[in-house]
Amino acid sequence: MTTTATQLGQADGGPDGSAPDSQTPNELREQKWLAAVGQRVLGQWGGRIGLVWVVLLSVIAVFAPFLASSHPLLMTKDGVTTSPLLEHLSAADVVLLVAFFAALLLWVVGLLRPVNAAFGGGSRAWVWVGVTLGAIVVCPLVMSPPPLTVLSQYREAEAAGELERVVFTVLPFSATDRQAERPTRDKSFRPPSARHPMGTTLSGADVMSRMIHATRVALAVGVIATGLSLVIGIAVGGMMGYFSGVVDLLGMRLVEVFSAIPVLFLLIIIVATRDERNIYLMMTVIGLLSWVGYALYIRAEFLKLRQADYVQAARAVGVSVPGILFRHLLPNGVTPVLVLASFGVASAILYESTLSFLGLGLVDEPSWGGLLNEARKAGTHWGLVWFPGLAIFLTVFALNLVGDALREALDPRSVK
Amino acid sequence: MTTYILRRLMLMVPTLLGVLAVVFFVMAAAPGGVGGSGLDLEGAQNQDEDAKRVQRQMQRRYGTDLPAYQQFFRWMNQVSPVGFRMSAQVRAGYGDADRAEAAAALSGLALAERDRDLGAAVDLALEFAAYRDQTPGEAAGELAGVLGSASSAVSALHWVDSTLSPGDRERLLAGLTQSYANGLRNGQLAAVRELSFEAAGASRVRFDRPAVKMPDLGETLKGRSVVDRLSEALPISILLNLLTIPLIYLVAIVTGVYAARRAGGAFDLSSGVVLITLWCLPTIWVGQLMLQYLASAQQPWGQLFPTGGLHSLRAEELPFLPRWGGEDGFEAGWLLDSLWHLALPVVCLTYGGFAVASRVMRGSVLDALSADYVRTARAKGVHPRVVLWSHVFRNSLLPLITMAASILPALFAGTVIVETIFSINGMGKLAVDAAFAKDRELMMAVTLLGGILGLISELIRDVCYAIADPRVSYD
Repeated sequence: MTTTATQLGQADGGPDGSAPDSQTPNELREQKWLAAVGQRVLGQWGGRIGLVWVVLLSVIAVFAPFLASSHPLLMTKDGVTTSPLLEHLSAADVVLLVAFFAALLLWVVGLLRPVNAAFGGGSRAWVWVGVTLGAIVVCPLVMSPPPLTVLSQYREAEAAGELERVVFTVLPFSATDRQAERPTRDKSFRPPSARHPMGTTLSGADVMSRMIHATRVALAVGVIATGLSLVIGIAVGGMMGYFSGVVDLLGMRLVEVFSAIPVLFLLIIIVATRDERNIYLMMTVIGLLSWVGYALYIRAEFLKLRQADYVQAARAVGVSVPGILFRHLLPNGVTPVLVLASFGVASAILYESTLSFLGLGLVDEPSWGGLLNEARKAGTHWGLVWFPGLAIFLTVFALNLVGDALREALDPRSVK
Repeated sequence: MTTYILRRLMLMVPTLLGVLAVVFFVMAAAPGGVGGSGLDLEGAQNQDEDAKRVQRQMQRRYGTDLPAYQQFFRWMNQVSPVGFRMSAQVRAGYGDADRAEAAAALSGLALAERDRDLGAAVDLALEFAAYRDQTPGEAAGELAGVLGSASSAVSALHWVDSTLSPGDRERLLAGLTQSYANGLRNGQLAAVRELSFEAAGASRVRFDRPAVKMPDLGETLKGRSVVDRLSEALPISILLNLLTIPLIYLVAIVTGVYAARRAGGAFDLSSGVVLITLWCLPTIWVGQLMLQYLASAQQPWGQLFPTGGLHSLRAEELPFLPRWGGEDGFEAGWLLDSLWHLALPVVCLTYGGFAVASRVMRGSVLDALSADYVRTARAKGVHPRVVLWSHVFRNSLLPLITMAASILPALFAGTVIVETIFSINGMGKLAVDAAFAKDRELMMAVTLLGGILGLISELIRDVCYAIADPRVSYD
């Protein structure tokens, strides 16, 4: 590890003359530095364990339909082989898959030395963002998944011997599959068994399947809400720090207002007073309410940095305000906020599960907190309190470990 | 210091206003508004009679027909001890036939011109009397002159608002006739004012006459006074916090100091692992586990703790202290019974807090241990225990004080969850219930109280900071 933290803090400090190939010195240094931080995070046990769990969850989230679905992977009926699972993939499923495989591909490409030299890490990230955004726009337009089907039809057909060949996913139940084909339609929990490894909910849905599909909700809320609050926090905090004076005074009042409102309380009010709940509302609200920490941090950084020599120099040379903000201040002030963001994802996930636990979650969509809520009902079984609880706990724990490891990695004092 | 506190108190006002405004407008933007009623299944405004009646009631009580910002000012004015008296304008919404009858009934009204409708006339008359700085005698004279006689007043009022429920109209008429009979003495002037406000089909607010008045938190949707609800819930939450906060600090200080004293030792490492685990444990899960394993009669070890509430059903009959004797041998007594009920909720509220506080304490003790004055004290042969407790300890308390301000809001969030899980009727559960019922006045009151408590705790933190550290000065 040759890069020291003091160098890290000044990516715009000037060329150091050692830049090979076509890369600009800044780009190279940033890359080296990112790699160094990554290595330092991975060098710690906590960071390693945390990252493994987060990656595992992400993979589960991306491949949820392939892990647990009532639609068979392959089905041969009357000599015709079809794949109901692929036919029923939603636009969101495909977007996730595209994003995942694009990331995988770009990562593999990055490992190849010649490509890497011509095609830097930054541009690869932009390619990924472009591909993902393209998928988000295109998929809902192009795709028209068949309307809601009776999920038990495949099982019934199999039992009746109508299918010549059928291959189910590992767990042959969708998250919303209530298994209505059972002869006893009584509403009751079924404890964990071979058929349902984690039991069922009161309405007969498979808990494990719901757990798998709930990773999506948890991660989506965590990441997008945090992203939103990062953007707001950086914008407000950056303006306060750079312009100071009246802007700072007004901004601080705003910050005070939002830090004086208990987030959970306001969340409950907003979600409870809306008749229609969806995941976007939840993300937006959590994002809108948790930017205060980032804003304060960025403000402090910018207040410090705006006095720095290179910023003064940039101003003297006549760099525009956006130029100073985005090219000089932001890259140097933003990294420590990533530590906060990692804790922010954890707390957003906690907020989501708490809301669901209180009965304010998504309707019919699987959620860990919603499953824990089931555990409050009479006649519940042990699986419903242990599995979702453990999932929330482990995820929060992993994200905190990653955050801690990041903080250590970014802390100049800990560099050996 | 006094100047500093005063300045901080004044800065609190805009912050508090901002908090209230955010919460208010969030609620005002909700579909269905206060109570969320009056919407049919498609979400459209329901038009049947019941819905209309409820809607009118809401309009009268909360002014829901006004634009949101006027509603907010109305609420602010109602809560503020210094503000404007609210007057009402009777809504002018009468049919032609009504108007003709009204004109006939009110022909004696001196102030009403012929083309004015009845509503405006009565409103004018009532306000004229009630809202001028006149002596009660003068006001009585004016009103009597305007309305002519008591009988015409009653018949006029009959048309004031045909939307009033029979009970309200009864009260209105009774109040007004009585006020006539008594010649509008001072007390009745207030009655007329209130009645004229009630008489308004909708609460068009006009902010008249600045005045010092009693703050009024309003009524809940079910018609109970908000203050009543708060005074039931607040002591319970205060009790929970009074048990939780010292417990958090006690555990945090003890574990933090011992972990730091042998940094890197077995206790330090094991407590570190345990504490970070505790910190990440979600309260909803821990509470649920406790309910299922410690408070359920279905476990092989039986029910160790009650499932919820603060007292047993027969807690009222119990003596305060435990005693032997009585029917079942040992009687737990009121105190033990309460502690028994409080044990699980308090544990749930505590563990997250002391996990953080203990790490903070450990860090600051470690910092203090490496300070020069500690080395000096050691070098001159001060007993290690004295060094630890009188040199290091006092100096490492600062971060814990800073933490108090972040613990309090966290505790509020904690009580929301814990009180819901253990069905304790404190502020947290009140807030959740109010949100579910879309009870605006109740939610605003909880926000107001929470906001004030939060801001004041921040101020107390800063003051404590200055007291604990002589280097900190705000002057």
